[in-house]
Amino acid sequence: MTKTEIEDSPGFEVVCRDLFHLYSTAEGDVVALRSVDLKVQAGEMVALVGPSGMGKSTLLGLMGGLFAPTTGAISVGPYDLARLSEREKIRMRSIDVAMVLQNSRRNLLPYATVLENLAFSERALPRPRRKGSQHWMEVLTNFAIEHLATASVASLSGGERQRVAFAAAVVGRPRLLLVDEPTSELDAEAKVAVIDALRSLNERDGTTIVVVTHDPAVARAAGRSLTIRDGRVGSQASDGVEHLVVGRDGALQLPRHILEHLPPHSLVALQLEGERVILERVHREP
Amino acid sequence: MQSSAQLRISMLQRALRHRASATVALFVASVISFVAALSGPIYLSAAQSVALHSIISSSSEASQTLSLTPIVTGQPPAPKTVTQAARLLTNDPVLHSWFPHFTFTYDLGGTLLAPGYTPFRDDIVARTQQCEHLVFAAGHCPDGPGYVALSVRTSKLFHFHLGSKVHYHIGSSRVTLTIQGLYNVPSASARYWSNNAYFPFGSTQPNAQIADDSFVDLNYATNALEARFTDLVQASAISFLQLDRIHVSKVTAFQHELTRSSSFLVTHDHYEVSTEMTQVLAHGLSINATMGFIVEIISIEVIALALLSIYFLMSRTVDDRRGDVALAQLRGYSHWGQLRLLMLEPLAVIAAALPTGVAVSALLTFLALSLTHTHVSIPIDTASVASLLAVLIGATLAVTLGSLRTISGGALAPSGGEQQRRRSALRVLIADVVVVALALGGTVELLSGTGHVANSGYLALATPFLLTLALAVMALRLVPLLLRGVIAMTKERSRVTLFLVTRSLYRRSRSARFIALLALSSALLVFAESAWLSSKNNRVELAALSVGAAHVISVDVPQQTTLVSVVDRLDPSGHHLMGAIIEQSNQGNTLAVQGSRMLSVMNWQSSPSIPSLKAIKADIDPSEPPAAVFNGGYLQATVYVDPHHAPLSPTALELLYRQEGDQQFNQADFPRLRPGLHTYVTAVGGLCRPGCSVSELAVNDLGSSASTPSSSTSQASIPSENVRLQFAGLKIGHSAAGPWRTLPLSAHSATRWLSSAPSGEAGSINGVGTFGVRMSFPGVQPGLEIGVEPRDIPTPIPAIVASGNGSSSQSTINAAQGALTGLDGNVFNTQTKAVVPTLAQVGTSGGLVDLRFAQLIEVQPQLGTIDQIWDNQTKIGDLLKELHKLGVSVTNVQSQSAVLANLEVQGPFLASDYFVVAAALAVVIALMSTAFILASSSAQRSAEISFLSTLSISKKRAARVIYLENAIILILGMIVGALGGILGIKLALSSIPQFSSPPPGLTLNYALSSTLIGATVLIELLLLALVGRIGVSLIKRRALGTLLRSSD
Repeated sequence: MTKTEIEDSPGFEVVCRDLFHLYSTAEGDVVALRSVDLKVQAGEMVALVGPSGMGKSTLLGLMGGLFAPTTGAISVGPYDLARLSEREKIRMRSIDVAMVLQNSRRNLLPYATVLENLAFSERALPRPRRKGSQHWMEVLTNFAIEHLATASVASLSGGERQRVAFAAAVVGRPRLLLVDEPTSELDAEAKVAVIDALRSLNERDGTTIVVVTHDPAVARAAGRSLTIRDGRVGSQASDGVEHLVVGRDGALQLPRHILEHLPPHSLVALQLEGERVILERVHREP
Repeated sequence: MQSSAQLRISMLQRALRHRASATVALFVASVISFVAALSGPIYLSAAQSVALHSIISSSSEASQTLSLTPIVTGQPPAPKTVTQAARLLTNDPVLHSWFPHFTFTYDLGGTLLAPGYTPFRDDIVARTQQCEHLVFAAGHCPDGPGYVALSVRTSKLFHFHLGSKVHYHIGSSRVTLTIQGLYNVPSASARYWSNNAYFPFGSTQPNAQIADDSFVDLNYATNALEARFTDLVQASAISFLQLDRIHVSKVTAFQHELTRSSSFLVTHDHYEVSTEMTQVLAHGLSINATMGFIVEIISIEVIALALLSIYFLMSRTVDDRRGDVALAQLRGYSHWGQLRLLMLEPLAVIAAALPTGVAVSALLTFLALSLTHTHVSIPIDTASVASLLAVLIGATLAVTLGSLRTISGGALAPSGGEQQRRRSALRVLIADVVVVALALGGTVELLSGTGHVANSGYLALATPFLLTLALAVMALRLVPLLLRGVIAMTKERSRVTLFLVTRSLYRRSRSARFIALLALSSALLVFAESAWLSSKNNRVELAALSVGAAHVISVDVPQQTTLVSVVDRLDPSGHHLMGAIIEQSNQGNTLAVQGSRMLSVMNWQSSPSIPSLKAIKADIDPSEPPAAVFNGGYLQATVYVDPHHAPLSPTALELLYRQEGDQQFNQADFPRLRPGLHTYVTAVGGLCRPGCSVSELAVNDLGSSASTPSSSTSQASIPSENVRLQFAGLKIGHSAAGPWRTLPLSAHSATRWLSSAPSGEAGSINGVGTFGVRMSFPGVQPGLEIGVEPRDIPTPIPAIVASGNGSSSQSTINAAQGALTGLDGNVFNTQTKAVVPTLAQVGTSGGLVDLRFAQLIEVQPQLGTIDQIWDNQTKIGDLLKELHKLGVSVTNVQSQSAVLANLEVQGPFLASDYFVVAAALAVVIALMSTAFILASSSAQRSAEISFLSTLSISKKRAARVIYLENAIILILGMIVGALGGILGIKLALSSIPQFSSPPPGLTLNYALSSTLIGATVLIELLLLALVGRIGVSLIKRRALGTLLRSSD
């Protein structure tokens, strides 16, 4: 998708500034995100990658307004999430932001049929925006699952269920789609179908998509991928090129192959030469 | 393509099917809630109506009729005038519904006359449909002027028969009518006769001094009556109450309307409207208040339990639906949308349960009322609808609360962490403290309100429930503390099952709050069944106390035989019949029974306040026979005739005696007296078996007539002052040669024979003549009047004394210990062997003696005697036929079962039958809640069991873990429940007036049935086995599923 196309798309831009988030546990507070700065262009498809437990899903939840950041600002299109009330966040999710959670069972009513799930999703929309069964069939057709309309969710395969979950999520034509691990339960064939579905949604509708994944194939399918590690955005990759991201506090997360040469507590010296920054290991006994 | 609405319905159906077990459980709980809500008011309303029927039925005619009398004097009131007034009332819809048909009555106060008899007061009644309430034994209803219908009793009294002419005095005129019909009075409880003067208040026996009403044709009264009778005629329009139209909810409207109409008619039309219905209704309403307390105390428990059950089920269902809520939150459903989503299913189930609940409650109420053999309509009145709405709101609130809890908890957002858990624990602690405090408050209120139903508020009513709940929450808090010790013990041991079970229970102590449902339902079951059993046992005991045997038949024994011989003939073995006589006296009634038969026949349930039959028999039936009863064939008199004052003509002693139970006198003639001290022997013909009583002693001049003592005593040929006899004693023996037994008769003074027990002192007689034989007993003042027929009284009669308050000093029979004017006006002694609160047939003031003594003392009862035959067999048809064959007429039959049936429709007893309904509901709740708990716990543990399987724990052992864990939960719940139930019984029942102050003689019996508790345990254990089995198979399936999922 070109820059012009992105600017014209109906998708929302997502901007995070100096985002901190803490979880309270019995053992004390745990920092999930620290000083995250992030911008997702409208109509862009971005993958958040990185090891487990590093804050990806938390970041996704914050974007979806499921909970409020401890500090920092986050805006989704016109919405300033830090200032939104719970009711406004709910309204935002009903109209503009859709989420597909990890484990497709959580995205669908297990006892209902495919069509009933779409109806259930659409019922959250304000009445004027509801389009009815014709539209539901169109959405299903877009995901190539129209033949499953009357099937019970319980009878679907993993891949089918995931596509139904996407269909249910986008039935209200959201501006932002937040997806968590869409391929984690799927076999190779189903993965391809899901990735195709995501891509087509992004390209066809211009919906901004943020997807959390461990799957390189999904990350590749996204235009840009951001690596989240230790609650920070460590690097960004696009078009096969990865760049480190310097944190607001100047922190830099070095890639693994560099760390093999710079074990923890190594001393380095920095030199600035024009546009270049030279990082040199210093061998000195403490 | 399905429409949106169709999709919604289809989705709802799928959702309900998906959560089938929760749906069914919620449906059952809702049905029970509605049943509890409806059946209480419906039953109460129906039972109150039944109790009113019972009260009204047993009240006087004045209470059952609305009488309309024109306020006129001097002229006979025209029937048309009364008709107009009746029509006025008939047009009043409220009054008309109670009193639909007016009849006209002329009531003439008169006197029934018969030759040689004292005039008896009588009422001559003329009324339309006058014979509707009469059962004719002969003839028919009077059908014209000059005819009358009399009762069989009156006709016997005056020796009338069909066709006889009877005479009445009405005012100063004499009227002669011909008997055209003879009717029987069915019983004292029959509507017309109930509490009529014919039956003295509280008595089932007709008043001997009043003749029954005589009925004449209405035309006779209206047309043939002479003008001079006018002042004596009371004309009125009367309408009988339609009992089947009475409903308690309409009482207030009726009373209001009656007052208004009465006032209007008196003011504008000069009619007097009179009825005693309002007083009866007021009495009925006060009894109904007690009924209300009894029904409310149990229905509130059931409603509370059912609502709690709904709340628990909702919490469980909402937990199941956390995913749905999370999805709704994810999709941006508003709070209202989420609430709708969560509440739609349960509300649909509750709505579906509503008609079922209504139907089931109507059915249960009908069945419960059928147990009392009472057929009433099942009313759904305002109270029922209000109660139903209250429960509907309560159930909706429970659903709303459960839903809000989930929504506000944030199904989608991560948990609030430790702080939220602490807040939640604090909330639970506060709730527990509140429950305990409420339970204590309710207990205090209940105890302080003992005996005063009106003082008991809803907190008191809910106390049994709250107490059990408090016990349950305390037990749940204690269990983890106890388990800690067990966990420590199991740590070092190789008992894996125990290890797992203790840890699981410890971990689940919060979720095990579900056992409160089991405990509450068990408590309710124990409470309801025990209360019902208590009521049932107590009314059976009360019926037994008031009747005395299965049947008590009042009889008239022909003169040629005796009661004892009739009984001996019908039941020679003494297995099922007993003779008894009730002597009625102003000082109290005395019951005399055959001591030799009482053990086999009398129904007497001993209690702490009432000795056993065996003990009573030993008291009143001493092994030694009464000393002064003639029991032998020969009499021996020892007389000293002063030679200086010996009679000139031949003189002899004669003794007049009478065989027991015989009206005829016999005469024993002694040989001619000789001067000096001699012993004279005479035969009494062997008749004195079992005994004779002395009547008179005469010194006869054999020179004159000696045919009978009365005739022989008129004149003596020797002046009395010349005759001097010294009486040295009288003895009786079985042969002329003895041995002899001294009779307690002696000459007390020169002119009086007196008895003096036991030594037989000597006395003297001056002159020839008849001398009454008088008795002298220790402590009795001498100087009794001559002419009173003597009785041969033994030494003090052993008696059981009835005294309502259990104090002998209050007893009539024992008022003057040692001597009193007894049953028949004679003096006798009693020796109180025991004091009991009440006696069958006698009540709370009277006594019980052996029949032999009673027959000895019977001469002229003050108010009469009633001969009775007591029967302990359930069917008496054959007995009545046998009595008929023997010429014994039956005047009344009292049946213990009839009394019991009557008690069953009396307020509190009737109300206690609702406990059967409550127990049935408790059983359903117990089964459902137990099944729910076990299934829920099994389902929750499937993942854990699958994990155990990976640790090489066998399925058998895993199943054992579940069985053991559930068994512990069940037993804990049952123990807590049983304790709660027992506490509830002790506290709540003692607040019911009937139980806190039972009738005299009825010792409150809290029936804690071990059979019932055993059955409860058995049912729940069977359920445990069944559900455990299902749970284990469920777990195996789920565990396999979990393993498969984890390997994806």
